[in-house]
Amino acid sequence: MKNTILILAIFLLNACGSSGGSDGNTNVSGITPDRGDTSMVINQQYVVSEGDQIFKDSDLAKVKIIHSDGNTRSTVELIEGSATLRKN
Amino acid sequence: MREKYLKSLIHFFTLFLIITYLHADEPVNPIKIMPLGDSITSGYILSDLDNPRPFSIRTGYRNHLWYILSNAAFSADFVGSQIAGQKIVPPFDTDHEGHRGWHSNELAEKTYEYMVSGNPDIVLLHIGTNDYSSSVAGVASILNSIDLYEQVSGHPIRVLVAKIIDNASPNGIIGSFNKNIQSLVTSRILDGDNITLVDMYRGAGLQGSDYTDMIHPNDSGNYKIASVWANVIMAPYTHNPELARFPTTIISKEYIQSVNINAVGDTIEFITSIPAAGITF
Repeated sequence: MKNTILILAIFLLNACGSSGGSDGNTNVSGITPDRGDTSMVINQQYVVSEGDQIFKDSDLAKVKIIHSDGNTRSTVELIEGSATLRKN
Repeated sequence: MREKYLKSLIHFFTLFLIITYLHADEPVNPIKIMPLGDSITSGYILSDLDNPRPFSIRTGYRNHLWYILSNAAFSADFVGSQIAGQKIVPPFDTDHEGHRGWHSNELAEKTYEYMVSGNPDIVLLHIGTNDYSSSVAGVASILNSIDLYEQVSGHPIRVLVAKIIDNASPNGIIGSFNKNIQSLVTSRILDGDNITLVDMYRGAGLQGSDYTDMIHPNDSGNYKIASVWANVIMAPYTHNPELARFPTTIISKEYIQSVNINAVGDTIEFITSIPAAGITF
């Protein structure tokens, strides 16, 4: 009985759905620079996609990368040193 | 307008079903939790050496953890071969695996045996205070034993590994030990191990007034430790090996300095240095 209730609830939740749709990248936030090279600013979040690259401009360069399950994009934030983001 | 009304009605009915589901009178299996460690887990304090208190009033953080989980209606069953705290009011589940004075290598020798007898779903590991060393080889051995038990038994275990609390007066060795714990846990997460790093070192916020002696927390300190454990235990985190492996798909493990998977297990956050060849997504 309990399982029947659960299945019915899940079915109804799915049926309601979100009218906004989703591209699987809903948790990604930050600026998306134009194609080419961008000098990264400390504490600024950038959206990166497959094929984009990051190069260090100083040995101390350190970044925080946030990636969500199922997303094709990630968020990158420079937290120390200097680096360049190459957007392809 | 009609569609909006219909959706509201469906939402209301769904909510009703969920509430009905949550209150259905089938028993819920309690989560078996093993508090594993040394005196900070068992509740021994230095004055017990000369004037030993009965085991029945020793608690460590365990009683507070039980109260917090119970108040949140989280169904837990503490497991372990040791018992301490039976005379504490309100009563709590007094089973544990805290062994006073033990260093990590001693615990490692017995870990497999404890997994067999306790068969926990979650292990709370706070060990290293007695090591007086920055080496985490003993902790690695403990984790290896848990992994082995998981392989042999087929029973998955979620291991919460603490960056251990400092002494009442800051101790540099513990700071170094915790840095190595972070590296160890990071490496194992990237290899797909179901481990969560729990920051008791800074995250519990213990002050000098939270200690009863140089090493052991008092009741307020134990409450702070219990609160940190409880938050991590109750987070609906489900291990996602694919997500955990993402960092090593774009960068070698040796560059990655820390890894954190969020509470609901759908986002991974990691800090890394950048190799000369750069990082390609």
